[in-house]
This record gives sequence, structure tokens and C-alpha cells, in this order.
Amino acid sequence: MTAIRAEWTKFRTLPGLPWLVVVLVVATVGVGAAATALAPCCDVLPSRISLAGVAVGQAAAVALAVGVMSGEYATGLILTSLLAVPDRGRLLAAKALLTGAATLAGALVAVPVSAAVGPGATPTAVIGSIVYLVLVSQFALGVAALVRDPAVAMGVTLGVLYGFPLVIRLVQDPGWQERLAWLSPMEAGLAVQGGLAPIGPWAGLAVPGVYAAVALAAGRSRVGRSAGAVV
Amino acid sequence: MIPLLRSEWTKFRTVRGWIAGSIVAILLTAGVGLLGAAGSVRSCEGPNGNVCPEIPIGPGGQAVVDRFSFYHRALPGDGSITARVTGVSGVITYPPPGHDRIVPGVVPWAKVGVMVKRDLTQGSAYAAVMVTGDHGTRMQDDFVNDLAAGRDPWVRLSRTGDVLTGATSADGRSWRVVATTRLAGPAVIGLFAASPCDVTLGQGSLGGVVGACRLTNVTGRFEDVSVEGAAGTWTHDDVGGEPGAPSLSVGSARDWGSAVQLTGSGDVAPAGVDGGAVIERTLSGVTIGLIAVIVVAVLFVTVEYRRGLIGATLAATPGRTGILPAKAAVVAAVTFAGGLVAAAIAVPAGLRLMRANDNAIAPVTTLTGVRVIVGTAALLAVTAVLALAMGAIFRRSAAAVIATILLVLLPQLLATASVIPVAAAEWLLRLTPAAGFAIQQSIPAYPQVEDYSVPALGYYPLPPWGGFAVTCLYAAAALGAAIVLLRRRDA
Repeated sequence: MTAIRAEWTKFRTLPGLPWLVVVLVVATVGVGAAATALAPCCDVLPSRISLAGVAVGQAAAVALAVGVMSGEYATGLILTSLLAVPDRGRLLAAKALLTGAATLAGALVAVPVSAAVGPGATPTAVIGSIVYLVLVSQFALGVAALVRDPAVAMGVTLGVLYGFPLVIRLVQDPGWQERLAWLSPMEAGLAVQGGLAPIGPWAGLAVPGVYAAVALAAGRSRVGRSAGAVV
Repeated sequence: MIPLLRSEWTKFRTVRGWIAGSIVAILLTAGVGLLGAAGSVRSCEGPNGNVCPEIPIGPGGQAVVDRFSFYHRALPGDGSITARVTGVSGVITYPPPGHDRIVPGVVPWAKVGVMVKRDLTQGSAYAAVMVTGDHGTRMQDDFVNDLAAGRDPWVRLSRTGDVLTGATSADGRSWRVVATTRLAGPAVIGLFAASPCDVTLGQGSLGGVVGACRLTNVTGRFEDVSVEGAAGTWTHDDVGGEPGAPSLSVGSARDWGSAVQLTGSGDVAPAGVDGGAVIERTLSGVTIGLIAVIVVAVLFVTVEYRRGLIGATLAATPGRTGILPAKAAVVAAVTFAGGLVAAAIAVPAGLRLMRANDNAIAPVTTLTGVRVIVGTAALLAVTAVLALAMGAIFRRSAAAVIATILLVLLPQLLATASVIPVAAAEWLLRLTPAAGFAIQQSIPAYPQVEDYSVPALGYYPLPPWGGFAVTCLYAAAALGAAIVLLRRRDA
């Protein structure tokens, strides 16, 4: 509990981090509204249009997670944190909880508002997109704990998120597209918004879940190890 | 400038992570591209089993569609053909919105008119003057050339020596020459009819866009047909016709002497997405490699701020102006070299893999192939400069990386996700740094082809170098702003 309170204090007093929650909301709703204004009638699923902003808003969730983790390595604060909370697992769990909660708070506003502004979204799409954003933040946190450098963490996370869909569009072979979609946390995770026939809504959400779990476990094994050398 | 360049190069090459990042960028670009190429398997289930039809190649070396109904005679030397097109009608199968009925109608690029063609093999040289469904009277030759010629119903082609002249007329008496072209030797002369399929775009089962192409045909009615200099008798042929084709696509001719009615399907035009896999398919890894490039370029600046090295750098360069150009030159040169290696491996090796999987590759000129490879390397280099400038503007690596990725890759993603309409997607690819990806497009979109020319299927709204110039402008503007800020701000 004390570890969580310490993280909360760091989070709310650091310049920038709380703003990223606002950015998440604004980006998600804004892009969703723009897609709604532009969308052609009746061709695309309403959930996809309303929640198009999630693809952009997730970048803010990633930035938030990377900021919570890598910021400490950049400033050397990680040494103090580790002195105060010697248990590495607890430290990472506190950070994960805080990042998840902050993202959830943002998503709870951003996704329903997007659905209300746009042509509407199914309850599955709304709940699934909120869960997706939280999972993305956990994935990013795990990656940031693993690679430490904020730029590299950001590059790896956004590369995995945005890279797969871009490659999928270019491959154009249905069999490979489906295989790659099952590997892509963004493509499979956002199947909850509908429109991806081969991937069921909830099964798809397991993909970002696995990515987050693996990244957090890998991050756990590296948090705090030889932190001094990095600083 | 030289000492500055040298010191920046020393910094770059001595940091293990940056060299490693550059190598990762090369491996990702080439590796993902090859993986995608290996995954492209073409299958053509037809009445004769899995046999892919040969794609005809036009006189200009590009893949073409050459399938039409031709009512013709031989043309050994000089001669001409004149006709008045008095009616164009046709059939469109299963058009939108319901896709459930066969209706009478003519697609915009249905063509009926007069033609002189080298012979009856697909892809041979030709010239034609025609009346189209919705684009007026036109003269076309050798598949790629297309000229509008008003809306007159009279069409004429005449050959003197090896010069072919196309002309149109409103009344059959005063003729207006449209254009001339060359076609020597024995040829075939006659009337033709072709009607390309009705193109509609829909959502794929995995997002993205899937095109559908539904069969149409056209019937042209010709009156006052007169031919000079021709030999032999009138014969009807479906050029490129296949046995077992649907009855609607089989052409026919009825001849009453001065009036002829000709029905046909197909097209005489450059092939669009049906012309085989495009060579840039092997470069799908560029979007991933680009992320590694962006991270390295950003860190090349921001690490100096984090470690305080920037103080020493500024002290060594009192003017400050030269620092960022030197850094940009180093990072651009390194990225260009790496990108060139990656693309020069990915394209030939990927094409070999795709051919091994029975894929037909849309042929391009050597110049275009070189442009795609060198352009890819240049695009990576310019993006690296943009990322470096972002790093200098933000001075924080996370913010710079995210800003650059959102600027360069997100528009590409949104434009191809088919959530937003084609017009908006095209504007995204005109106005953002993602426009530079146009440098990879090897087959241009031809206006005379009703095709799936949308961003989701690899068609960019700007020409290759135009799109590249947009990315360059962004990089130059960002670098300029970064230089000004570096001079003004405290380190």
C-alpha cells in the first residue's frame, strides 16, 4: 500500500504525466469524432468508426507507462525507489497498478464519450476497448522495465502495436494476414470492435493480454538489476 | 564543417547501441520484407486446375489487359476504316447497392470503335479511336496512351506508310485529326468492343479494403462502316478469350453490310492490381525498420542532453549553427547506407521467393526498380533527419520518438485501415510526412483504368518524387526550427 502511495505521489507531482491522461481522452475522442465526420455511410461498422481514436489514444497510454518507468532510470530516482521498496516485484506491481488505474480512468471517459459522439458502439466494443487500452499500458510498462531507455521502450512498444497492422496491409495474402493478425496485439485486440471475422471479439483480446503478461514477467526479472550502471 | 562532421561521426560509431540499432533497422527492413514475400502464395483455381494465366506484356514492357471482341480484316499496307457509332448499350452484373440483379447499363470505360492492331496476340501494338461509356470519344494506343477527343460519333483510323492517323467527325464530312502514331508492317484492321468489369470496393474480413470486379459487356452499333485497303474477309475473334468463359463475356458480331452490331467484354488497357504482384511488396519491412531508425536518430541528440555532453559540444562549436546539420548529415548518411543495403537485399531476394511461389510479378523498367530501392533508402534517411530534429526540439527522447512515429506512420496506418473514406485517406497521404511512401509505388495509377486505385491497395495520391518532396519539406522545416531553437535556448 505504501509503495502504491509513493508511486501516486510521484505520478501526480511529475510535470507531464497526469496530462497524458488528458491527452489520451482528447486524442481518442478527437480522432473518433473526425472519423465520424468523414466516414462514408453504412459501409463500415459503426463501432469501428466511433472508436477509431483508440488506435491513436493508445500512444498516450504507452507514453504514460514509459514515463512512469523510464523516467526514474533517466533521473537516477530509481536508486531511491529501490532503497525505499527493496522488493523489486512490489515496486513493479505498484507501478503497474498505478499505470493501469490512470489508463483505466482515461479510458473510462474516452471510450464511452467516443461512442456517444460517433454513430454508436456495441457494449462489447466499448468494454473491450477499455480493457484493450489498459492491457496496452501494461505491455508498455513491461517493455519499459525491460529495456529502460525511454526512446527504445517507446520504439519497441509502438513498433509492435503499429508495425503489425501496417505489414498486414502490405502482405495481401489472406492466410498470412490471418496468421499475422493473431500475432498482432493491436489487430487482434481491437477485434472486440467487430469487423474481423476470423478473430472472435474476446479471444482476440487475449493477444494483448499475453503480450502484457510476458513483458511484465520479463520486466520483473530485470527491474533494479544493476541499476547503478545505467544511471 | 569537416571537423564537426568528423566529431559527430566519431560519436555515432563509438556508441555501441547506435550501431546496434542501425543494424537492427537493416535486419528488420530486410527480414520482415522477405517474410512477407515468402508468405505471398498465388493460387488460380480454374477449370483447368491451379494454373495461373500468363499476364500479357504490352509494347512498353508493362503488364496489360488485352481482351476484347474484334471484327476484323487484314491490312497489308496503306488503308483506312471509318464508322459512325450510333448506339452503345450493355449489361452490368450485380451492381451496388444490392449486388443481386443483372441490369442494363454501360460502365464508364466501356469502349467501342475502330482499331488497327499488329496481330491477334495479346499485348501486341495497336491504335484505336473509340466512343466510351462516359468519357466521350477518345484515341488510345499501345495501352498507356490516352487522349480525349470530344464527343463526336464518327471515328476513323487511316494508315499511310507507317503513320497511323486517328480522326473524329461530327457529320462524317469535316474531320478533325486527334493524333498520329506509328505502326508498320502487316496489321489487322476492324471494329472492336470491350467493357471492363464493374469495380466496387468493400471491407475485407481482416479490415482493409477488398475490391470486387463484376462482369459487364457492351454492344456497339456501327453504321456507315467503310474500309479501304483491307484484304481478306470479315472475321470475328475474341482476342484473349478463354474456353469455358461465362456466356456474357463471349463476344459476337452481326453484320448487315453497312451496319454492324458488335458485343464484347474485357479491356484494352494497362493492368492494374491484376497485373501481378508489385515489387514494393517485398519492402513491407520498411515501416518496422523505420521505427528503429527513428529511435536511433532521436537518441543521437537526446542522449547528449541527458548525459550533459551537449555542454562540451556547444563549447567546442561557439556558433552552434553547424552542430545539427553535422549530426543530420552523419545520421542521414548512415541510414541511407543501411537502407540501401536492406532494400537491395529485400527486393531481389523477395522477388525470387515470390516467383518461387508462382506469383507473377508486374514488370517494371530497371530505372523504376532502382528508384524504388534508392528511394526507400532516401526515405529512411530523410525520416531519420526529421526524427533527429524532433529530438533536438523536444530534448526528451520519449516525446520525440512518439511525435515522429505519429507523424510518419500513423497517417499511413489510418489511410490504409479503411475506416475513413478514400478522399480523406488521400489527403492524409498528401499532407503528412507519410506522403514519402509514394516513392515505393512502382506501378502508376492510370486514369483510363477504372481500378482499385486507393491508398489501402498501395496507390498514393502524389507522384513518387512529389510525395518524397513533402517528407523532405517536413524534415527541412523541423531541422530549421531545431537549429533556431538550439541557438536561442539554454543548453
